[in-house]
Amino acid sequence: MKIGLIVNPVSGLGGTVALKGSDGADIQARAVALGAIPRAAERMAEALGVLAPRVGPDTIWLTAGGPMGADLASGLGLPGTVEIVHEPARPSAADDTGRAAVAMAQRDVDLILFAGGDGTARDMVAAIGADAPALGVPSGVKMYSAVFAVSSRAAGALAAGFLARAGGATALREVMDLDEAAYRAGAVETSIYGYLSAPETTSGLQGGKSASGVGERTEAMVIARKLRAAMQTGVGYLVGPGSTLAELKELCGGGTLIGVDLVRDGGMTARDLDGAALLREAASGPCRIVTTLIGGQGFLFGRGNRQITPDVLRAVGVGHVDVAATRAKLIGLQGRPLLVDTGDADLDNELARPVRVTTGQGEVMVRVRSASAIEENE
Amino acid sequence: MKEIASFRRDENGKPKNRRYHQARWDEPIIFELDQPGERGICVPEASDTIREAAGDVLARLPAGMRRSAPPALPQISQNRVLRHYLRLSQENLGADFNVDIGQGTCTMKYNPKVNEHIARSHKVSELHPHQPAQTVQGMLDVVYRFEQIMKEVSGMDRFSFQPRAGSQAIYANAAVIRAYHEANGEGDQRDEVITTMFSHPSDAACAVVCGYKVITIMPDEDGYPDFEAFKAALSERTAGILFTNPEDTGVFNPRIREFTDAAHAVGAICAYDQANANGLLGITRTLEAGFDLCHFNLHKTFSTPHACGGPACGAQGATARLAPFLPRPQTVKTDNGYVIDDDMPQSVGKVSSFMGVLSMVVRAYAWVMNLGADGLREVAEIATLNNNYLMHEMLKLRGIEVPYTLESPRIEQVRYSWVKLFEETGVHSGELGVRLADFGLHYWTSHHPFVVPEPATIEPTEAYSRADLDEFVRALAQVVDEAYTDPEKVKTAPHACPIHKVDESSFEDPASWAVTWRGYQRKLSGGDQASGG
Repeated sequence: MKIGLIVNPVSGLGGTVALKGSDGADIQARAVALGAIPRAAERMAEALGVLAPRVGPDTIWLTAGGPMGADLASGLGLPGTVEIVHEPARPSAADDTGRAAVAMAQRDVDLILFAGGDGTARDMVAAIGADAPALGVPSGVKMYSAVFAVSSRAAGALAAGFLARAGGATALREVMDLDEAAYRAGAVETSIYGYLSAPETTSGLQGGKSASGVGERTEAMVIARKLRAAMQTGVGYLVGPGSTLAELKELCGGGTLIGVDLVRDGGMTARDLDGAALLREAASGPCRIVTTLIGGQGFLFGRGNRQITPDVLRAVGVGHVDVAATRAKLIGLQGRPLLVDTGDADLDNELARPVRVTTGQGEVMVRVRSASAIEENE
Repeated sequence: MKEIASFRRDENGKPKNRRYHQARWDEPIIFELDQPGERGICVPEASDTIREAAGDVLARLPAGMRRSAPPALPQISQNRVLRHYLRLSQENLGADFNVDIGQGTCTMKYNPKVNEHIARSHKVSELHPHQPAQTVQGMLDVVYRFEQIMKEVSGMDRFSFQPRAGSQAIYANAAVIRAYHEANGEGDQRDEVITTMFSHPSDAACAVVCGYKVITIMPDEDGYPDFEAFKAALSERTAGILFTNPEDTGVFNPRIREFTDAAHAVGAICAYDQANANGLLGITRTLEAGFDLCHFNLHKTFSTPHACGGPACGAQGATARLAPFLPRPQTVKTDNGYVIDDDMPQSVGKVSSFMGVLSMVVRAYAWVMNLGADGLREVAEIATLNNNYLMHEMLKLRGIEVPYTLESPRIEQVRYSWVKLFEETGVHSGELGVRLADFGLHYWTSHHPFVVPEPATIEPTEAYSRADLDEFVRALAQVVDEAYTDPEKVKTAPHACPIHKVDESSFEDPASWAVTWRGYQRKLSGGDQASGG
């Protein structure tokens, strides 16, 4: 068994000193000057504390040199052998994460554990896409991506469970990131940068092969058939990003994972439309928006689908929004509401009412809140 | 002098863990024990006199009812039949063998054997459902009296004992909802039913079988059904709500009246899934919670046996407004005794044959009469006390948690979570439950999907003593300790049971299993056509 370990040594530096992220060498330098402590190695050690006792002595740990994993691996005395597949620059640079991941994927790694935040996940997805299973150990400042376990220990447990089942189930999970420069200036701009192939969580689902068990992918296919069957002729469907909706796009002739695509009369008619193009469609005739939960926090609008601008939403009409999601994703919210953050406070308030979410089994009614209202209350 | 061995099983006032091993018999299927010519009972040949008096008996049967060939039953002597089934029973973990508190939500209370005695008496067992009403006045009297008891327990105005299972009673409730709206000309308009994530899955399933679209309400952060989402789900399309309370978590929703009031405000019917009402008897009632319909599983709260999936009785109750829609026939008391009233033009019809499984009504009636009204309330109080004592002891175990608010005590059961233990050891909740089988115990996780991660649902009922509960916790404590010190031992369990691991992958392949001997033969011979259907 081959397990990849990548520690982003500068991840999380900015957050502890209120710099809102750690992207860019000068920010990292400022963070260190302000007394920031790197958290990623510590978080990875916690994850390995759970994982290491549950792997065999024949395990091969693939990692990157120095602070990117090798120091930690030798310090912890992991069972098995440690191989360094990439020597990073000192200090390490952003492309070191990608280079290490590529080297691991080439060695047919069973799972890459990476400790970092959204920026690290972006480097991962840019380098390997969904070529190798990967799981994030949360240690960044902002984590909008859905590729992180809820805690470092949970990451270790999830990894152990996944590795114990040879060829365990994976699901495509969004990698999202804020534009940190804009964020520091007070604006939240998030985009989807791609999808990593991550182990399916066991908490919301039953593990293993059970007769009544339906995997997330299967449920997404059931949802896709339901949504397509309910589509009306003459109506334009603006289908947003997300792995759940990717199955619908596939059914309609193939679309994009991270874009907003147009489906009309059951067929794909345009892909990856920007805000202006969407507005033209909305103005040209009856349209509906089809959306799903984006990222680990359950955003409906405002994260990863900024193309659906407030103008587009108003032109289509807030009553013409269809929401779909797998039950596992809804359960993963643990009672929290869905969030909207379109950048238009009035529109957010209009959207902040319970929505019917189409699942593989009937509909589920879920509360929606304006993210900015929640932040103000906190 | 040599000391006489002690068989006491307690240590410092607490029961010791059992040294247990289940029996293993490599027993064939009974059809494979077939010995041509062997008989259980040798019926003597009829004398000539009888033969002549009877004439050609077979010719009197309608041609369509005569067998062309004898039934394909195994030919086997009585003692071998008995041996066969006793051996199988030893390979099982029956309710009367163990501290059966691990099948949470199922209310596995003790089934008093005196009630079995009454139900199996010829006065009950030899009645024929086609007998005229005047010849079964005693049985109808029991039905009538038990209906009065159930009316008092619930506040409802009429009951039907026809449904033969809890799910069938839920189906009957959904059917009554549909019939009511159809009678009011709103059948087409009202096409949605609302349920909650922690209600029994049959509530959603039965509504779908009745043709309804189902909307599920998720629990909020505190574990209660999300009221804001519920209100938003209600509309002029809502036909009814199918709710459990307390839900499977054991949490009682104190705002239930607000839910039913809001549902009534849009013209919906409220059906209360009281399959398990073991924490409610004599404390709260269906009517006061604002419901129009309900059902009670006599095999849960009212102590009748579960009997491996039936036959059972799901007692269905309705207010006067909905009573005309209940299944027919109904038992009606008149000045000239009881009659079986089949003239119910608005009834949903039959959900099962005749009047249901009346032997279960007899058992439940005997149970209630034994306890009296105060005794019923005491059942609920002790069941709740037992549960809260058990939770107190369970929470001392490492790696266990109780999700959602602990401000109010749990009612009759608790859905625990072993997610912490799983994260620390890699051992799943289901594996802990299986390892318990090595101590002659077991527990169940939860319905799917697992909203509570790594769940375990335990329901002690009123039937078990403090020593019984201590024995369960003590065995579980050892299993938990093993999960931390020797997880492989737990993951490879059971070690003391004849069946070790079931390969569940075969469940998904219909070609590799059969539920009847005939089906097995058919699959063995290569399909339906080969066997001639």
